[in-house]
Amino acid sequence: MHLFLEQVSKHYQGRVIFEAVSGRIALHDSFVVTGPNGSGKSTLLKILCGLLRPTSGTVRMEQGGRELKPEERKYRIGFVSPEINLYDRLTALENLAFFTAARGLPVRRSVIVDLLEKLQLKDSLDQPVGQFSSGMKQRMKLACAVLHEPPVLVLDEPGSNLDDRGKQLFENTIRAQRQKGIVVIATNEPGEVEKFGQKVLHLGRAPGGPDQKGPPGGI
Amino acid sequence: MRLGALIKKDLLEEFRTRYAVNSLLMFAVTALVMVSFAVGMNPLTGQLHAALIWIILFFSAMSGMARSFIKEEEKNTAPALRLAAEPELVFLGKLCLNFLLMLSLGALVIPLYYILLHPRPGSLAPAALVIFLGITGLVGATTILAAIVAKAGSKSTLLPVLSLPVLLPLLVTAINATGTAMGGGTLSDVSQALQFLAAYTVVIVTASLLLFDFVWND
Repeated sequence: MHLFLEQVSKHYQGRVIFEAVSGRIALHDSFVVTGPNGSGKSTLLKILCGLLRPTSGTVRMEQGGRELKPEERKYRIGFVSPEINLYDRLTALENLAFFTAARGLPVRRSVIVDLLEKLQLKDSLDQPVGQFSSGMKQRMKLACAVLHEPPVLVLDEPGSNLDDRGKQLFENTIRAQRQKGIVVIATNEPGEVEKFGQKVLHLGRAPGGPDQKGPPGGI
Repeated sequence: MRLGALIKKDLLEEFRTRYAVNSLLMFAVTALVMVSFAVGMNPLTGQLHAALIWIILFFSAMSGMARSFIKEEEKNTAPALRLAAEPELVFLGKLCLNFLLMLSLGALVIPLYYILLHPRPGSLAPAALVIFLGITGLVGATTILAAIVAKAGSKSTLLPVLSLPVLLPLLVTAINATGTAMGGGTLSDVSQALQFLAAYTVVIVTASLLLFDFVWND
């Protein structure tokens, strides 16, 4: 399993968000994207997931020596982002059952309940997601992202709205995911960069224009 | 199964919010009552009755179906849906839900129209067939247009404006054929219109399925 970023650039309404980002993310890698607000972290993650098209450059995913088509890549990614919501009117159980069925996977109540228990949401499984606190919603998004056991887990600001217990749950999930696949995290939390920044990409803004630099050796 | 899940999700949401059902019903019933007061006891021709029925159906569709994609964009549930299901499935799910809603509305509004305005019964079977196929085409076109306006700034207000030119051939044909059937026309009198309505639906749904990926993902 490999994820390749090749000269990926994004411009929006004449403004350069980032330019020519390249890198290779391999199995068991945890890759952290940092940078100030507006530097394009979330945009880069959406491009990785196939939710946005880059202005130029390509994102490729290889699995088992075979390059996946962009539409195949999308279904092998779990994505948690402040810009993604679940259905407020559906209960936790209904949301997860829907996303499982929509992906064409068999809906097993016991699997969903186990996952909700692991994320400490079992007591709220019949409660509409709209009634959840922001921290519970964040954990629900994580449940939805890992439900189909994707090889790539992409997390945008995963620590937001979480208490210490919630953060611990996320960290455990990230560690477990790294054992079986790839984790990509966008964060500005120095603690998260230190813990998970096996490879770090800093998207930055230099006077006169944007720039981005990787760690020594690049990404 | 996947399509069933998408329809079930939309039905559950609709059952709990009743947004589309309320919009469709409120518009249809208000329009019906206003038309019945305006017409009073004046006799109308079959063509005029047909035009009034289709005006009510058209604007009810605009008010109820516009939200089908707008709510996904506004509530930020669209990205999660994009990562879970193929665009064609999403389109078919919305199409089926809109079809169910409009068919239920037709089944309620048309008998109500007959009760309030008592037009000549005419030929019921051809009229029912024309209305069924007309609603199918109306739903097909409105669903893809609702997906397009969901990305625009003015959203639902844009839908009737965008829809009218696309739906004009369907509406003209449906109004004429409904009028013919209400005037006592037989199945053979409306057969050409039925063929047109069926062909329109096939073309619009096929084109929508081909184009939906660009509308949904760009």
